[in-house]
Amino acid sequence: MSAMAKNVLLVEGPDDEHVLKHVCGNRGLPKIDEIKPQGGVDRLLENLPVRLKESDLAALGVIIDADIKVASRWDALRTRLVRAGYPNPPTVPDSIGTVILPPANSLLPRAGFWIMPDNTTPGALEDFLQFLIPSGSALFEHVKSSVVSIPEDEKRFTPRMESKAMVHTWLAWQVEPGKPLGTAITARYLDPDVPEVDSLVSWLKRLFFY
Amino acid sequence: MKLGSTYMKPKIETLTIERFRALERIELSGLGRVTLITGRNNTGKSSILEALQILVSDASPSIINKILRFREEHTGEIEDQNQPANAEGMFPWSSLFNGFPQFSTDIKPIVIRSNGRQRSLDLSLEACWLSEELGPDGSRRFVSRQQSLFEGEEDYPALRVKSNNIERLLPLSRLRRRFGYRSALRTEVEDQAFTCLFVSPYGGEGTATLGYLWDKIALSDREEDVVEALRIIDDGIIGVSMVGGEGAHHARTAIVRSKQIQRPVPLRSFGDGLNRLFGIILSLVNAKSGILLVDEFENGMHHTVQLDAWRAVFKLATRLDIQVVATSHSWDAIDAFQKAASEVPDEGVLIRLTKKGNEIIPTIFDEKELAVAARERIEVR
Repeated sequence: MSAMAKNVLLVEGPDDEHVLKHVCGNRGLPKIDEIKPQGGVDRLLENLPVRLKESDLAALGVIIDADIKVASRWDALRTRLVRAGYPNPPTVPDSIGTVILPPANSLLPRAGFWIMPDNTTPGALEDFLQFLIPSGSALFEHVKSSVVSIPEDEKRFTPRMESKAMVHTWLAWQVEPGKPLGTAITARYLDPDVPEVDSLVSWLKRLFFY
Repeated sequence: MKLGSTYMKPKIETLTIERFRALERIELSGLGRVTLITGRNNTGKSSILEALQILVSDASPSIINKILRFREEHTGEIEDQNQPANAEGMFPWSSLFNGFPQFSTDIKPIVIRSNGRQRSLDLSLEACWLSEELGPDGSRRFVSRQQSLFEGEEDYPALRVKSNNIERLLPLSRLRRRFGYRSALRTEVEDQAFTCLFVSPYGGEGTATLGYLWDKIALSDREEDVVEALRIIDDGIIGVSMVGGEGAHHARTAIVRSKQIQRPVPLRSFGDGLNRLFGIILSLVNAKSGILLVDEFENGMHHTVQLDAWRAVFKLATRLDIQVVATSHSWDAIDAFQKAASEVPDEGVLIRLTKKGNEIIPTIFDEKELAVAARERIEVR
């Protein structure tokens, strides 16, 4: 076991990992020791209770998609927190990102939760990334109307994937088309200097670098 | 729990220990068929095995004195009778109590409790004073004296053992009797509610004292189990036995027949690993329907054989209905344990002890969590 306690951030997949790394880099945050894609929401929920028991952990952060309903996603997380020994996690997640302190005399880490896109509305990573597209952009209006006007029998993605299709279309129509989500932030095709990113960054600071 | 598996609840599922050695209070719940306790030095790993022995033996003086002798601690044996303390202020068994107290009725009691498939066990140990009383038939007996009554020459320091609400008084003078190692071993195998055998870190039992355990299984199916386990280290081994031992002072020697060598040769000559495995497996097969405790499982064993050693332990523990509790601080042993545990459903549990301030805090990983930890490379040590 190392002498230094570490900070670990669990995310659903590699897209989340890259976005977070580029957000942290662009905002000059100190290094988070480990950012670990879990291979989907089910795996993340399965791994969480064991992660909380890992030795020498200072703080454990979780970034997870709300998908259909924020409340049911939070319930799934909250049940695991109670079972792990956090006496009284809030019944609703904090809109600025939740941070929970461990009980005294326990080995549990500080635990933090960010539910994509903004802890209050349903959705996923790509809904958060839409905040990074300049509002009122004529190009993005064109992207949106193109995506929604795809003839029904040619639409190959489910309605839930629509916002993902829009973000990737936006990236397909840039100076250098097809940049991946993370590098698109550094290239400013997705602008990290927006209030929604401020909010995410201040949650990371409250959790890991207080 | 999977349907169709032969899973049975372990004898001891929950263990609570209070004020024993450095353990102020600790509760371990969800012990498995095979439990490995890990943690850095001075986290109380061995103390938990000691507490289990004391609990299962109803605080048998021969077991407790054996425990103290293993640690080279003061047992108070053969000293001034009826003195509560020796020159250093220690009384027999003082080191069992949290904080090495001097003899006083203010010492808070040691409490050890368990729940599980077996009836629950409940033991407490506290200091008290005794008076000698004359019975109607003229016989003398010890009775517990209220602390407020006068202290006279007829007061004797003692320990009161309460075991599932049956009270026993042990005058300190009696704890000073010397008990032979064989006496403790007999207690472990024969005189308890169920067998609870202890394998020390250094195999201090030696091949000589293992003779007793050997005689109990020689020529039975369990002898074959022992030979099979020894083949983990040397697949040329075809038989094992123990010879010698005529008269009280002649030691027994374990000998081995191997394909490679014409004559039987001493087990010792095969190295530390085989000796260690022999001690563990011979004790294991003797603990049928009981409990086996192994302190520092991996001692002497090369890391390449540890996985197969654990596999043998899991297999025999299930077949002979034995609960195993072992300790280790080696990374190799924990890795091997995790791997072996993941191959059998519902059997393995890992407990990590961590010292935080004066408190020792357990973190418990059940079988399912161990599998997740292995897959995700989550640090359990």
